[in-house]
Amino acid sequence: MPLPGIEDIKSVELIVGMEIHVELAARSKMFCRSPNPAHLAFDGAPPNSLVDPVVLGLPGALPVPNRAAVESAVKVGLALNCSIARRTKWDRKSYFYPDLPKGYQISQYDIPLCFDGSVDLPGLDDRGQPDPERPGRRIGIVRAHLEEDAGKLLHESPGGGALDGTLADFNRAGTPLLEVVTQPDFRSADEAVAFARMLRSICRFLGVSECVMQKGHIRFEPNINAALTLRDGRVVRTPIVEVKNLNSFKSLRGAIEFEAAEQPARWAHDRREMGRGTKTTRGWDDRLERTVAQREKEDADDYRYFPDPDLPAVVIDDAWLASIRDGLPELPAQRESRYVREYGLSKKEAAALLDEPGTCRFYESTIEELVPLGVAGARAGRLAANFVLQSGQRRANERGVGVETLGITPSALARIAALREEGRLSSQSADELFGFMCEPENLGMDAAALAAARGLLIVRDDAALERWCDEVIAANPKVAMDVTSGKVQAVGRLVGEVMKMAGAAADAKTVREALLRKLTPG
Amino acid sequence: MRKVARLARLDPDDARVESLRAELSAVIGYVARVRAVDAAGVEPLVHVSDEPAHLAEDAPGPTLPEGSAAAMAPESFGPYVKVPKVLGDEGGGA
Repeated sequence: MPLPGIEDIKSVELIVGMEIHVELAARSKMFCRSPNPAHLAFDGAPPNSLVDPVVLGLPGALPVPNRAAVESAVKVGLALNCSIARRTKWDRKSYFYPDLPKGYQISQYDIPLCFDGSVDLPGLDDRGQPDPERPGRRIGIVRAHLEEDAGKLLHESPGGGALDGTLADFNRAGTPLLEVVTQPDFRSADEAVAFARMLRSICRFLGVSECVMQKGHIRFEPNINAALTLRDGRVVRTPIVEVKNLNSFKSLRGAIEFEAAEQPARWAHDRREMGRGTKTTRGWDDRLERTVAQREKEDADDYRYFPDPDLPAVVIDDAWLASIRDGLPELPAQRESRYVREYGLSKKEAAALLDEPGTCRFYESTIEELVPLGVAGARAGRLAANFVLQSGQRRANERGVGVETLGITPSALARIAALREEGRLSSQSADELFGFMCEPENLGMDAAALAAARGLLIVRDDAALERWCDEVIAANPKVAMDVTSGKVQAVGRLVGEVMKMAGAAADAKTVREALLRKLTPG
Repeated sequence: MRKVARLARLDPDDARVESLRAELSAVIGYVARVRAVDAAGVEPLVHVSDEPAHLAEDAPGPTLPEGSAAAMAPESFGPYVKVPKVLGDEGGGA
């Protein structure tokens, strides 16, 4: 039965803004030299082993900002087209909670390090995939500021089982954290997810965060409401719901889609509109696939921000900013369009190569290795992409690793690709050779020598090829005539016949060329 | 007074609330005298020192010996610091 009141709603426009926390993978923490668990070298350290007097807020301990963390934050800010504050400060955000040893979090209140940026989202099709035919959307970035992460609380004993208290592990306390805040510019869950993916990719290509979702290196908090156009022409806005701490794209999408469907129904039921004090906080239940109300902590937003007297201002001078800017690598979006433009890859292929920074670096190294072998430009980009996405990706998926860790080196792959380009390997043999070159005992072997030893190379016997072609043409006069009169695709049948005669010693591409040479004028 | 006390997780009795009210009013009143100064056109002070922050190189340093955090806490559970049960969600921050 439809909810009473829901028929008053003519249309619904979803409005979403996002807060995203990214744990920066500096080696040490934000304000001290304790190792940082968001850096892979210190991941999984025993509880409360990455702590020092600053982390625990012991009397007399003083914070000192980490230069690398500031630099990482500026890199992300620049990638998001933000202005960078040349003089920025630190503020104390006070709240009492056992995950926060000092009783306050050092954050940035009124002078964030990065502010006023924007990124352009590509147009998306109905399934949320990039579609160049559709209009994209510019997403405003309000700010990106630095702060420190809090510790972790356990509400059950580590082995499972009930506990009459809460356990605190302060390893994560003090981890450098970048909070990116967008304008409420998203109009669908797809757009929010596309942005989340984009930001994760940017951070990984910049090398500022591992962004391992399962480890909570990147966490999403969408602020969701809806503009309801009513049948009487009025437009009402539903109260904003903030969904806390989502650490997968699936839960981000789920939370937004759930709220998008739920908020009009909620409004029909209670007629509550957006206004002061109406914002609520909800969590996401992965099992039930719905948002759930969180108990509101009274005065939770009364953080009593004030400048931290322990920390002088951070000054980012021209020289430093210029050196950070100069050191920025090519960003994923730029790479994607370059692959499409220069190598003729499809957007989908380019996106697949850009999914993992390691795979992307492997791909680009292979292209570089192809140049001295006589294959360059678009041809090298296309050839390397074929191998990485087919022979490479298939094996990588089987083993659950990245192409770059299969064991084959970019120079070995370049060698295989060059042999293929010279017509000395069939596509099947090239794939087989790719497999051999992944085996540890073949590391450093010359691919051509290995191919010869394994009998994979095509024997160049031009006289035999000529003979086979002539025989096949003679036996199939009608098909040959078709090809000569312009039906080039008919040559496929003749190629098949020649291949039957030749066995492994010929490759289809060479045979096709030889046949066309004989049958087509010019 | 009650609100400020709760934010600081203090639970003063009624008599103490009254005395604190007087004390705090005196403190705030004293600080409020700064308003008498004409600060038009003066940039807000970020820090008493004009000296920019010294930034540390990103090199891990020593940590406290393992077990120290738990040993310093009034209550512990293995390597963990144990506290009274709190809500299952994250704190107000981060």
